[in-house]
Amino acid sequence: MWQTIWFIIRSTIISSAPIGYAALGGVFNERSGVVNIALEGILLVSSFGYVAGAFFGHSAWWGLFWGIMAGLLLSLIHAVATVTFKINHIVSGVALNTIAIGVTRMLSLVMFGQETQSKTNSYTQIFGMDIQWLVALMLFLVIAPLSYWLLFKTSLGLRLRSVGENPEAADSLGISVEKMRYTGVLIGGVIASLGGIALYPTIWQSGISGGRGFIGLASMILGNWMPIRSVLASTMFGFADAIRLLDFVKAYIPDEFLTALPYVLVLVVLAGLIGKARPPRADGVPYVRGE
Amino acid sequence: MPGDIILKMENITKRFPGVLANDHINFDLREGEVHALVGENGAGKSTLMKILYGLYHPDEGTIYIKVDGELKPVKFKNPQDAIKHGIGMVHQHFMLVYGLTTIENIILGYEPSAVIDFDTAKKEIQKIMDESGLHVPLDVDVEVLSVGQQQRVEILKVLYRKAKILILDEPTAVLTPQETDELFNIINRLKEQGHSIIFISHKLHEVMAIADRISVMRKGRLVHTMPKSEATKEKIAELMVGHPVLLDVPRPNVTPGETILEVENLTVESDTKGVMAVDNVSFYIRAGEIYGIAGVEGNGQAELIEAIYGLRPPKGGKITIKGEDITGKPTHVIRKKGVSHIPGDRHKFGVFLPFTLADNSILGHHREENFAKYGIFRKFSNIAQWAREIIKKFDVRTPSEKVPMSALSGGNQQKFVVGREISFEHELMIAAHPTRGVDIGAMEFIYRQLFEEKKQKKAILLVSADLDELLLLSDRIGVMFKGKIIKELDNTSRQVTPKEVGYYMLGGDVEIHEDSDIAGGEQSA
Amino acid sequence: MPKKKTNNIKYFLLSLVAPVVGILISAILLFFLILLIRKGSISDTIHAFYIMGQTLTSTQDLGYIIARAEPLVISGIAAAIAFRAGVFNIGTEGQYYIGGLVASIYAIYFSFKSPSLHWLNVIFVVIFAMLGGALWALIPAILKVKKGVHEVITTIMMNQIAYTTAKYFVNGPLSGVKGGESLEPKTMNFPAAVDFHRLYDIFHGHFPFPKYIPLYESLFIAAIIVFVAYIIIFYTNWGFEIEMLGTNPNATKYSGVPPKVVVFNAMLWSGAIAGLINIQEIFGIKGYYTHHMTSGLGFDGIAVALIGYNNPIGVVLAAFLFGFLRTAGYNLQFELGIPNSTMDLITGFIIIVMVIASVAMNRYISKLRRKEVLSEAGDR
Repeated sequence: MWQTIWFIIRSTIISSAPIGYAALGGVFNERSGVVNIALEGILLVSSFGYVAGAFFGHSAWWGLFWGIMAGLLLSLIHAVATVTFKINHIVSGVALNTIAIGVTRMLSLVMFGQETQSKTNSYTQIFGMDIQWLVALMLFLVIAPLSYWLLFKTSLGLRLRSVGENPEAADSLGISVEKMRYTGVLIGGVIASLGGIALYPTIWQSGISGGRGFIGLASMILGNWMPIRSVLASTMFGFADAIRLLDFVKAYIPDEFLTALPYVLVLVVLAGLIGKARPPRADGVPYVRGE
Repeated sequence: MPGDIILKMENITKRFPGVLANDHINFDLREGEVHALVGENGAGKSTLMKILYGLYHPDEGTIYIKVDGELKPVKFKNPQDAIKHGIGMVHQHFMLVYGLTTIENIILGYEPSAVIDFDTAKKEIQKIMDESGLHVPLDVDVEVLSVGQQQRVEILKVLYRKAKILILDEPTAVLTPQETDELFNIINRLKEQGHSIIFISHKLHEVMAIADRISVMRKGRLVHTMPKSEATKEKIAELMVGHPVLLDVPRPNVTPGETILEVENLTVESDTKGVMAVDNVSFYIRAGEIYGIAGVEGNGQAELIEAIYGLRPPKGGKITIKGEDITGKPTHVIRKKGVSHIPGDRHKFGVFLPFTLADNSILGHHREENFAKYGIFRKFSNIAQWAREIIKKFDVRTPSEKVPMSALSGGNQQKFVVGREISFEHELMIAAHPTRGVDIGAMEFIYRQLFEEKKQKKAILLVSADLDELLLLSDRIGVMFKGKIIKELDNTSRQVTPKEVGYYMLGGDVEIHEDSDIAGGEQSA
Repeated sequence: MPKKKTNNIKYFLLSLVAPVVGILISAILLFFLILLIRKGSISDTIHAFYIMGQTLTSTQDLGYIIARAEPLVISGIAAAIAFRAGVFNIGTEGQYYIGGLVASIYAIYFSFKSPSLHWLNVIFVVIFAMLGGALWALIPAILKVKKGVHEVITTIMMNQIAYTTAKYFVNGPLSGVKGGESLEPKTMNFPAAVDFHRLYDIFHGHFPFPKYIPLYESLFIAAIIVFVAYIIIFYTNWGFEIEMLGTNPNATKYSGVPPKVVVFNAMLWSGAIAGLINIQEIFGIKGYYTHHMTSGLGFDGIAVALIGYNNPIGVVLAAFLFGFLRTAGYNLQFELGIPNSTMDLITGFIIIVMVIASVAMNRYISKLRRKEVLSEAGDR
């Protein structure tokens, strides 16, 4: 009994982590005014980055480094396209997701000899702990509270939020809208990369992100763009994922039903709660300094 | 007493594509004075101030600021540089971030430390509030504050940054005459404390009431600077436009005909559920009559228009056009019944900027047989013909009807909108702020057009924030306060004074300072 | 006036700068990528470009290009209709899964069995696929109009639910996997009277149509969609009102056009057309339904719509570009071992470069226009 409960908690945490990190990454992006549906792509490339980095660097640390670098690079392209060149944020996101698929498959073929999956990586320990478990725990114990503190208790967070709500006003106070948006996108990118690392550090497969970046966005909305609430919302998906694996659940409920349930739930919640969920006012709106 | 010069702008020049916005401007400011900067829209006041505030960079010229008792040349890369040199700006459109609290708005960009110590910040702001007399609640979302309170937050922001030089850009545009009084008290208090103020306005009576010195700008040049003792309203007005003006368009003598619009006990809900924006309002407009609605913005004028125009279903009451009930009908039906509408915010509601003039010329009537076969298949040659007629009749400056609306100047866009709405068959014209943001030339043109409407026996509902405009045009004026028309004033022989309207704009039970000159501006300035 | 005419040509040419720049820069990137993969061999790289060029000269490859472009054309039009109205329907992905599913249910249970009524079956397949797609767009449409919920998030949810739904039907009620026959999950086979005919079979005997080209009747459906979409967008008030809404919702309202009605209709029609995206594969190539069919056609269609400026003609051109890149990609993989996914990377890159270039060009063009108007107004 206790064993089952512990199993459910542990797998909920592990399944929630990629979604929760993506949600948190989304919070930083959108609070600064940039919509980022390339979170899906970030999960994919950072997952690949970890596996390849650890595999060829013979160390989980190299995995961490390359995982984060991969996510950061994709975020950087998004920032350049949307903030500097002011193109539509969804367009850039769609393109980056395509690029993420292409680049990982291409590199997988070049590096591991096959397009659809990597070789098995055995460097998954840091400080004697399983990195997947460690990164997943970090989300709840460190990264989420830290994000809240950063956004609401520091001047950086205040400026970042102001840029997402009213860039013109922020600009008039000498706050660089572009710098703040870059900051939001890049911090968000690093956080989402941790989600990719938490996906499956042992092996990379094409399509391993499986829509979790999108679900992260849903969690972010359910959490009303608040860091801790967004992470908590992600546990709902993690929980559904966790109990799917249990025998007694499998026996009674069709797998498809459980898979679909969280998504249906999001729709239901959105339909009822919209009065509460309010995106930042300048979310997704390019800022051009006018007369 | 004004002291030494603390700011000097020398030979400032700024060019935009096709426009010389600032042409070798010399401007200075003394310690403890109010220096008014007046001029029409587009005269270059805003550009000059944005240069001073570091938002624009001058193509030529130098700014000098007094540092340690000496004037030194400075270069502002951005507003932060300007702020560092003690310059603060209160923008006409408030630069507040909704979703952030008052205190967050005040400290934004000038936070005491990387990790914010809100308690210390609060103490400091409290002290500034006590000194200046500007009191606002600190821990609420600024969105819920009233317009007057939001302006206070803007001034507090500037003071918190320890600004010595305050730029106030048309600060009274959103205030009632009485609120303006209060603002002037605060300005005087700030002056006593040694602040210097640049006061931008085009309301001459206000300038005469508050300024120590007055500079006039016209077409990008600063044409004259004078102490108040040498200034008269007539002189300023003449300098502003380059020739003597009297915006006194003669009012045509029309005997009102049958009742066109009748509004009975109309009640309309605001965006907030349960709150009535329009509360049991009744009035009527006859053919050949202009009915003005006065009031501080946000007292239900917008919702009243939306209800009549079919954009907001009323909660109760009845609206009829020539006796026919149109209550709650959709906009396209109401337009067909003979209602035209010049919307208040042109860019937001009146035009599609990327569309051609031709496409813009048929809005709201695009499904009519003349413009579309079976209401579906568009007849492009008829549409173009129609647009060309509007362009010709209303003197819209454009090479053809095929250019996008965005290529036209603001005045020409507004002329086009006015022309379009007049050209469609109609009985009632709803004109909301018809001259907002246009120059005096276009203003006069639009006034003449509205009087022409009156001659054609149309009924006109005029909503405007510009009291002078209301008094000049309207036969009767209904003053709205908190959703009700609390007073209807007869203005058939232009006998109503701004002070009288201002009294009712505040609800009618507020005392007026008889000695103040502010509310009693001239009717035809 | 001759001056005006040259101006129009000038603006048309200026609007072509962005696509040309996008393709050129991407070609340069591709050059270096191949160079990298082929370990610095310039002759291999040049050979690779030669192979790509050859793709355009082979009849069979051209057939594949068209076959790959066809679903993207439909997908691009579906996306473009919503985008023009300012609605980001990124749910075309789920909508084609459900459109195909509903049409398959018709095919399996309700279709006419007589071969002479094949044409009726085709019409009903189209109708049911459109109904299925529209059904899947209905929930986001209602949520947007009634509750103001942003469509991006609801359509993403609907995409996930669509896949699961398809999987449930394929594994459950419609399952056609017989013991020992095949492990791939699929539905029962459609009756022969439903299966789309190959163009070869239709044209054979009338004029020489190459036999090995995988094109089906659905090509006509795609062509009709392009034609009708073009007429609606540019010649009717439906298109005009969609354009109004996409440009300025407030002014649309003031013009007496109810934005909610336009949004609702645009969303539903977008979904209905999206329902048709993959009928070529389901009813032509396969003859049964499976959730393991080609995925990602919805997202590709979004890219196609964006590159094609939401214009039906542009969509067709962009779809062909995609079809070409895919086909050339397979040839490269086959002949030089260059991974086909390189083309995905290039595709994404083209989108970004092109959109950036077009944003810059649009700014330049409107500046030019304004200057022109000001100078002419001054002449008078």
